[in-house]
Amino acid sequence: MAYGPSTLRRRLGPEGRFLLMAVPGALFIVVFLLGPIVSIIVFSFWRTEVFNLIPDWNIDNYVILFTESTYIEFLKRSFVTAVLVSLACLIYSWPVAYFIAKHGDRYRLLLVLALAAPFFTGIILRIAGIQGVMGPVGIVNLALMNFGMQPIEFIMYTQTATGIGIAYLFVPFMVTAIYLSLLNFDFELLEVAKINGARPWRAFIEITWPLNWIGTVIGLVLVFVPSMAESITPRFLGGPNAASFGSVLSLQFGETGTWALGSAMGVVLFAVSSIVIFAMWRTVNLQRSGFTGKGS
Amino acid sequence: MSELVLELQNVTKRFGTVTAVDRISLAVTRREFFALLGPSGSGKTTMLRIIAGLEVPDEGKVLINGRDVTALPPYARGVGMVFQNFLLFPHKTVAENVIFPLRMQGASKADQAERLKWALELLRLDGLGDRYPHQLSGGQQQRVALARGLISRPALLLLDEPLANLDRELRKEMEVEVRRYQVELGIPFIYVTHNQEEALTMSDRIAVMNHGRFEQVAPKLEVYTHPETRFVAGFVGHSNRMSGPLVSAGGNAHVSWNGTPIQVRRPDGVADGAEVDCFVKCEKMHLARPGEAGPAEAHNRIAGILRDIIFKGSTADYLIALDNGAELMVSETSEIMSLERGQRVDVVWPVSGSASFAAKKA
Repeated sequence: MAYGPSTLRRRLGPEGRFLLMAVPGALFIVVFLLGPIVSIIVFSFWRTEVFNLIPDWNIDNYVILFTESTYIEFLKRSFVTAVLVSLACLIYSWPVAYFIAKHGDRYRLLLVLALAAPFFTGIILRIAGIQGVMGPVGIVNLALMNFGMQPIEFIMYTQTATGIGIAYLFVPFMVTAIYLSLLNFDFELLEVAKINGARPWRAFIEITWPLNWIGTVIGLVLVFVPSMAESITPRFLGGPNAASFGSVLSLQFGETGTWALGSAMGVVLFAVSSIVIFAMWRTVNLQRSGFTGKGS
Repeated sequence: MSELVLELQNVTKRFGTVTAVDRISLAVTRREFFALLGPSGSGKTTMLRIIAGLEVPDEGKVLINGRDVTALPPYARGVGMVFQNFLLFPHKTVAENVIFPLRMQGASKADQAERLKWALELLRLDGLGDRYPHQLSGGQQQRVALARGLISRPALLLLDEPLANLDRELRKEMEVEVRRYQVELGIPFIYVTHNQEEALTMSDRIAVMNHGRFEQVAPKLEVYTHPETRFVAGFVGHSNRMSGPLVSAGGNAHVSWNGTPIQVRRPDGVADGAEVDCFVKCEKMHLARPGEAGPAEAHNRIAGILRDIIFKGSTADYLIALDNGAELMVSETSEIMSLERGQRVDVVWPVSGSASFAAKKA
């Protein structure tokens, strides 16, 4: 006898099938999201001694983080960098995504994949690659010096170089998010706006922007959160004075071995990111997003 | 004086090798309801988009109120447009959708409020101003689209199959409504449709379009009763087509249709022996019992068997299988005689009810 879907249906009933389908997702969230978060929160209230975590409840880690000016400085620097990087990605990504969605025709998928192509190599290689473009012995500056010109100094081991590097790493997220949003956008609405007296720029502000705001917010979050936590790029491109919150955080789990302090930094990072995500989400008005749960 | 609102002069638009609009000239006056009727792909929508400024013609000029707008973008033309799929802004409420054109024009708040009230009343949308488009029925959405098209008092309103997405009942109702708005506003409506009933119900004049060209531009009755071309005769109304070589007999022209001679009016410039299509509207044909005298002027009479009756309410369509092997459809009042299927009947019609054209060259 065969076990068709109908047999399964009879055996499980609707609740059973619901559970069966919900379990994998729920398991993932518990094991890979809630688990780690709870553990770093717990660790952040412990202390470390000679590379060992000791369950000795205290808030010293947080006191250090909020009193020692260097940590606050790192946090501020990372935050400002992440904000600027997100804005730069936003300004850069909109025209790119718009072009692909509007004029990409059958090459759309190919174009989006091309943007994601650097992901095929891994982060170290990508950063080394961009160093090869911007660094003192990079293509840009070598070429300039070859023609007897001054090298561009602000892209050599500076905060700006870090920013450019981080933006380069995460800009594909933003382009993809906006592109996916524009895929569902009815460009005919722009014709309607124009017939009704809207100039192209006004039509963008009135129609395109609000109807793609959710996609844009998703893009901003996807860029902001990893930019804020970024640790490798500053190390490669930022030079000696550009340590970020993320790079200092990763030190706690490596060289210095202060896991508890590192956990506390992780909690702070998580909190800041959550606040930003929450604030961004507050700007979304589902009624005003054109999101009806239906096709149009 | 001159009440000309829209004028097209030799407008041509090509897409690659396809000529979508082919040297079209047209003049539409104030207070005119003008229908563009044609099958899909005939270029009627392209023409509308050219008038709106969404397409730039390759040749020719577009004039609105005497001003050459050919090079102007859509937002500088002052025309309204209503689309088949409504295209309301989903993130704006009904009121915001309707008010949009006025805001773009920079009208004062007081003016906006006043016009909004007027438009919502005209289109019977009172009380729906705060809803979002997805909370409305199809008919309401269409009325919002109309309100948005009308609120800024455009020079003319373009309508692109605006009723095609509505169900039959609602469409009938809206046909009357749309006509009412046009009369009330006194601006020309250019109405694109592939539905001849809509065109015949609402319009004053009809242009029948095919392959980017006008087949006939005339008052609707004229188009219906006196088709100028073979295409119009076949496209407008429900007609029987009878094809065959033209023969002369006793001073009259005949078409030899499946061997049966049919008396026709000789089409211009067609010699004996040439293939001719003769069109007779279903309601121009009548039924008579064999032997019974038909109506006066019954020049043609063919015998056959009543195959089926399709009841339509006040009228019915009678399908007659003729003795010559062909079939004809006759529309008559549904009460005529007490005919039954399988009964022998004659189909009769006058020459005046027919229109004949040289057949399309194969």
